[in-house]
Amino acid sequence: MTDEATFDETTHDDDWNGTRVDRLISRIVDRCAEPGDWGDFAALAHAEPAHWEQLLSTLRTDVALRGALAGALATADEVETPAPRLSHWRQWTGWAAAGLLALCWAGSTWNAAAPARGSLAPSHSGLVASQPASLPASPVVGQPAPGSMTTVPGPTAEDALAAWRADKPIEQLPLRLMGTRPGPAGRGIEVLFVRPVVESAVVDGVYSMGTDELGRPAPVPVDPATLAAPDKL
Amino acid sequence: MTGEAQRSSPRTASQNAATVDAQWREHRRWVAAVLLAHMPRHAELEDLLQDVALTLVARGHELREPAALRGWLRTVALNTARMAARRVRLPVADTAGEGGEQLPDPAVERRERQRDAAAEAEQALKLTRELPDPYREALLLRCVDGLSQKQIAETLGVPETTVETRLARARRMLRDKLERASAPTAC
Repeated sequence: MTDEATFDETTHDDDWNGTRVDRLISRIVDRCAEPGDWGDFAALAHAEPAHWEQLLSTLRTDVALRGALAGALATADEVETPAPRLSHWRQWTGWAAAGLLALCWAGSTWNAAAPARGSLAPSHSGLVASQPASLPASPVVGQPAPGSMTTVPGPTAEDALAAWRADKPIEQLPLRLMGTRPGPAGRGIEVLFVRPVVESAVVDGVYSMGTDELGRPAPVPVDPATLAAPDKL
Repeated sequence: MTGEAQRSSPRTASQNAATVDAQWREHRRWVAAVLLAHMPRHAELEDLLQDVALTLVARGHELREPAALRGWLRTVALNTARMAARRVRLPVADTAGEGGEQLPDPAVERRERQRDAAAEAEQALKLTRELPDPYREALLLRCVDGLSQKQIAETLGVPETTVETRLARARRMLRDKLERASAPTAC
């Protein structure tokens, strides 16, 4: 009988006719047996009842194997793609495009928009206009001038942008172009710009750095009414 | 020409990321099966999956024909599994539980049933790992829900009839191995 054909693992697939019952069992386990296959298997198993045991054993092993694989598949479902990293060239292309956009936009709108936006024109003079006239126009970073607001280390730019995207009460102001120069390796244009982001914080009081009677730096309370109003932004 | 135009059309990074993400979600289950069929026992499947995902993100865009993705991913998975086999195996302390707490009878019975099923699954996987490569891989791929014989054939790059033959042979080999494993040893 062909069912009892010798099974040889080394036989090439194309040369392996196999046993009819092995193919039928495999199709039944795969749920792809055709109506004729069921009849054929029933006839073979009627002649040789051990085929029922073989079918049972194969089905059981298949269930066990699927159970063993379930953990691996669950693991696969947990693995996501890592965030793609852009090449340097693409990064600079993106920045250059953003800078050029800002340049075009700024050139066409800043002059018209500046008066309407009040004191926050994209220049130091506009920014300082909201402060007392006696204050220096551009305080040096790290050397707080009298009357300037003491700054507390705030969130990073990324945090600020994330908060802004989360609809927090802050705002991004127009980009300020600082300059351009040839891109790295002579490719593209490197555009330098500032991305101003307005942040808000609730504090108990506002102080400026002044001096005490001995001339030493000391915090001095500031009347909030003298500071720039939010609507002037 | 149309295809060329489509390939050269500019796509944003977010579009590419979304495409790669969708591709990964579609294929990651059978990639896990391929890795399982070829990786060494000491390797962590999750680590290898992440390696394959990383390769897809980094180099998937180099593929010119979308239809070749399945075969390419399989090659990546095979290489990843082989690389893992070359790494030195670090000794891992056996932290298997010793003498767990006493549970009520129903819980103990349930746990014993689960343990039996787990042991049977483990033995089936162990014996499957002993099968020759082509049979092992075809059989494990068939255990991934939703993967048809036709898709397995595309993945392996062989005719569908070959897949059917490999499955039948793999099951026969596995059955024989199980019989030998469960047969009492002669003294």
